[in-house]
Amino acid sequence: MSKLDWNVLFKPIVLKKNKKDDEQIKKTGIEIKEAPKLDENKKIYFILTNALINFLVVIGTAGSFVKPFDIKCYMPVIWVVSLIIATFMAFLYYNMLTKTLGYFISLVAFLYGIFNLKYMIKGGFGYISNKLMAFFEKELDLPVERSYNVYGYNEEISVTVCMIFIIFAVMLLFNMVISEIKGFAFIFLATFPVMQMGMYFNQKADMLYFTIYIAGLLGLFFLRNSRHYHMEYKKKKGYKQINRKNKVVYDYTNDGKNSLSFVLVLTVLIIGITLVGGVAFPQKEYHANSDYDTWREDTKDFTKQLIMVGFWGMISPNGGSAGGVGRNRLGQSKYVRLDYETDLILRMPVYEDEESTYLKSFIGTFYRDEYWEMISENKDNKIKLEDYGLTSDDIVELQSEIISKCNLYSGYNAFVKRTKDMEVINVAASPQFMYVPYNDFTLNLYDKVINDDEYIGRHRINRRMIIRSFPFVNNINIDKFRNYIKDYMDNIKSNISAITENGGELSTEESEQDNIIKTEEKYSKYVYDMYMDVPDENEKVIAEFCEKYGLNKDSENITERLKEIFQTDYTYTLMPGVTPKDKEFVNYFLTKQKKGYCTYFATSATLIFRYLGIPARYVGGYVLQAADYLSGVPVSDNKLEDDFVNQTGGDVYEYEIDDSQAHAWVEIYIDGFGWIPVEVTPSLDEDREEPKQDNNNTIADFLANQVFTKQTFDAVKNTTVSVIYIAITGVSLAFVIYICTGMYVRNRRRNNKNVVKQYNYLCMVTKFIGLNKADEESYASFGEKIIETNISDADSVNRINEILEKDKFSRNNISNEEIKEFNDIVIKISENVYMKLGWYKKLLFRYIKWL
Amino acid sequence: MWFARINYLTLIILIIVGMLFYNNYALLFMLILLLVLPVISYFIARFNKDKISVDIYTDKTSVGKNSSVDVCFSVNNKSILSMENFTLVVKIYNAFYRNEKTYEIIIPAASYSERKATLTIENKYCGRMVVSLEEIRGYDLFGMYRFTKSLNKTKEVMVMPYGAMEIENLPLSLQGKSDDEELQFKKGDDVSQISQIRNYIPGDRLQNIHWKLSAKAEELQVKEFSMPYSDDVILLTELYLDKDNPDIFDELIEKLFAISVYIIKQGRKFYISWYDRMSEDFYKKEINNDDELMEAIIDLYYAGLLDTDGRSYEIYERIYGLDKSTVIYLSDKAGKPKDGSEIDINSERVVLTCLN
Repeated sequence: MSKLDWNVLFKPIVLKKNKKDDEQIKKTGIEIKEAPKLDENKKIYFILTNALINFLVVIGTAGSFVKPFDIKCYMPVIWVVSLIIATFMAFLYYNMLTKTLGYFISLVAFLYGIFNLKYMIKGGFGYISNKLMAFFEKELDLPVERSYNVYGYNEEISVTVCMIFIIFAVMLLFNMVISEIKGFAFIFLATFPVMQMGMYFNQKADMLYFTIYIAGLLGLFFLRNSRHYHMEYKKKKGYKQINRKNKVVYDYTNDGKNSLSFVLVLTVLIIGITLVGGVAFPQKEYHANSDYDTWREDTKDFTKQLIMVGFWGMISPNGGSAGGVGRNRLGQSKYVRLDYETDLILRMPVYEDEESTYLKSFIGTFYRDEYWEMISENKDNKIKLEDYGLTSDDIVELQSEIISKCNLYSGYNAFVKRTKDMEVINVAASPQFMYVPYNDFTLNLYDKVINDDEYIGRHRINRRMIIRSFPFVNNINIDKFRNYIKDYMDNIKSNISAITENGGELSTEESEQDNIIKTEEKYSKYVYDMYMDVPDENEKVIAEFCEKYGLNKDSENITERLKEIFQTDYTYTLMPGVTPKDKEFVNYFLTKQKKGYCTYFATSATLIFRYLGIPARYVGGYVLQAADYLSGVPVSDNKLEDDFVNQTGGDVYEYEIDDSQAHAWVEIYIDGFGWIPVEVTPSLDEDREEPKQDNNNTIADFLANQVFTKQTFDAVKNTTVSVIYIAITGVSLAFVIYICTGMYVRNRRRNNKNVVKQYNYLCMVTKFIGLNKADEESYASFGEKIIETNISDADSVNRINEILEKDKFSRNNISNEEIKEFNDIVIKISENVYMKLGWYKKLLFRYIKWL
Repeated sequence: MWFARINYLTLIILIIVGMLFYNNYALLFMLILLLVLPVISYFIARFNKDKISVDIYTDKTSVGKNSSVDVCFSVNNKSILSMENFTLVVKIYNAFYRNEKTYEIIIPAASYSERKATLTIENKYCGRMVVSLEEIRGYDLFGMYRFTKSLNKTKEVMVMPYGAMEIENLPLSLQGKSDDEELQFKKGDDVSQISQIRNYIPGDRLQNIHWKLSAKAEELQVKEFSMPYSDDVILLTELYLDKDNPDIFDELIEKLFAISVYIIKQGRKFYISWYDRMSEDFYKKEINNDDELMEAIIDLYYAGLLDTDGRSYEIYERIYGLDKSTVIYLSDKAGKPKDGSEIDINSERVVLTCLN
């Protein structure tokens, strides 16, 4: 393909345009040589306008937010400091020097704030947040469990400092937007959500701040609409020429003085009207019509969710900003970050013999590309419940029905003894999942069951669910349980067979048992087909693992043995490191890495169980260990006890479940019964030290994780200080090299033995006082100009001309004395020129141009 | 203006929506504010519009061809209100060639200040350059209302011929004097022929009084003798502009100027004449020196151009005849008369023809 010839492409367009102009000139004889020149536009007015708008908008927003919620701070101080900051920020755009210096100072101030006032700022933020949270708790009836540390500082001072810090950062950003493009939409979207909070919650508006905010915003709006909002003094032309058919428009864009006077007049007008209006129609006489509140009330649910999970939690499909259950690709985290914030609240009666309470949420069936998929997510799956004569209704509470219909819990049987009610409130866990214990049988708990691993009920934020279940008791041993169930169910089957073979009629109970057993058998076949998949890439490693540890399909106590292997040869850690890109997650874990947290063990164990012929699946959720039962808070709420209708003793406790209790485990299928949890993750060995966190990439981690722990901060501080030292050293070194080089260059220039080059140096010097030598100009003629400017006398100038002409045109060489004389005169002229210059040009002369 | 109105209306609608949603005093107040502000702005603008004055200044009243002239527009705002997009609607044209284009200069008229916008203009052709400030437009504070005022202020700059063209050896009679003897020559000195009798005008020569007729008429009567052949030169110029080739007309004026300069250098008195379409009469000016030539050129700039080419000499011949003076006719090539001898003036597009 031939190269595009841009000249060919664009020349005709350019020529056409010029031809039109030429034709016009030929026709009329009139040619506008220069477009309108206006008086110089003073930058200072632009800058003051931008500063004023920035100040009005930000202080208006801050005041409108602070006053309705009665947040205590020193507003006059904030006013004064904000004004100074706004002016400072606006002056960043005065010239390149102020911009460079200004941003540098801003960075230093920001870092100073971060390191030296960190706790005060955090304290101030804590006060503000706590006030808001208390307000939301009351106003929105939210179970707000979080409270922020205030670090013991005085409220007014810390809030003031925090506000100033925030205002500083905000004004820096707004200044860019206002100065460059008068970005009304951006400023409005950034400030309005904060400003309107008081109004949204029916608080009394502070009209002063509201007015100031409106004045700033309207000023920005109209300046933007005027189309004259760019910083025109930066542009060379200062105007825009628009050629129309019979018209030429010279649009001279804005005058800074104009903008400033406009904003001032507008502000005065608005304040004036507000004052008059405030007297004529005071706020206290305004009575809101509650009929109009419906629209806003409808949004309160949304607001509640937003407060609880934050913005990202609202838009993330996994709802995952808070809470411990997520669905990320395995092996991508260097370490697990825990925030210890409450995700769920659990209230339940507690019994001594009970096993740990598992609240399961996510079930993973297929392991593909280091990711657990549900059945519905695997497009290649061909196995369906319907093929086994089953529907999702059949299996939704199959396990509980087996327990109840086969009397597995009555009479204080071995592993299931009682029913129990529990209340689960989702505070901040992912609303995508349900959080449900094993053997649940609450009526209408689920909206929908998709296949048998996806239970749709959506445990929404703040939703309270009362769940009834059969908790496991007596420390289940898997093999014992399996054998127990086998014997128990075989017993029931043989009884039923005996009756049917003898032609007898089954009782209702026996009939139900027969049905449930038959359903379970069908389901069992389905399970054995569905939950045995081991990816090809893992088979070899798992086979080697089993061979190494002597595990096979006939081994006994497989689960206990696997747990023992993991406990002995593998390490539990929350900081396992990232799986290398060229390694498979499970293979790498089993062979090389040998350390990880619950996800690692559960994933590997699931595949191992499947390999050994045991249907297994991966489960994620929360676990409340039995050992922690008594650490809950006793609840003596009569209403709660009334809710638990099947209470059979046991005190009710309340537990705050946080992400440290998020967990992953394995479920294996017990023929005749159903799925039971298997714990394979080793417990953390207290004697082993946690490996020290690698301090590389601390800043990146800090920024990514935003964990304000003391350790992180110290690490960040040390690293940043080091960076600053290196930066300063680098800059100093560069400066020294620059100075040395420059001095060398200057010295060479001044002592050049080549008089022609020295004359060129002289021409460079004289440019500083506006004397430019044209190429065709003679030395004599230029020399006269030099004399006229009084930077040298006639004799000296004539002498250098003489020497130069001799050098250039004479057959004889010039002598060293003549060269020296030439140089001396040129240096003298240079010094005279230097004396005539202003300070800025002197700087340029000496240290930029090195003349 | 409409853009500003639509934006403002959008703002009001948003406030109304906000009012319905928040049900709050502050937003109600803001709505009232937004409704009141344009009204106040309108009245302020109306009150202030007469306080803005606009003037035109030029640095020269006459300028050479292809030399630049600065035209300065001054906007003096003595009101408290700044006007963002204050617009000057200007027409700049050469009276001969016209110019359909309008120039709009949008200047911010800051309060209590004078702003000046300077246009640097070059004229390719001779003529009378007219800078006309047709109207001014101003807007209120929010750009939603426009006020227009017609001004029709003009300034004129005469663009004089370049004068670079030199004419040599123009074959005209070198006789002919000016001043005192001119009158005699003008009236004719052939006493054998009385061309007419007329009443005495103070200043007439006593020798010319016809005593017999005067006695009869009981008032003095003067004899006029017949006009002999005279060496007076009339430079008749055809004022026809070919719109497709305007430079030809410009060259014609240049030639007119050059020929005139030549004749002046010869020490001859002569006349410049042209047929003015506006007055429908011939203009004739006697030229004795450079100043009178300049005056004639300036008068030419006010003349009306003809619609058709090559008619002036016919009209002249019909009215005045060609036997009383030497008439040299300057026209473009297309307007060259059939009769008459062409005089070489070193031009391919403009011809000089001696009609008699």
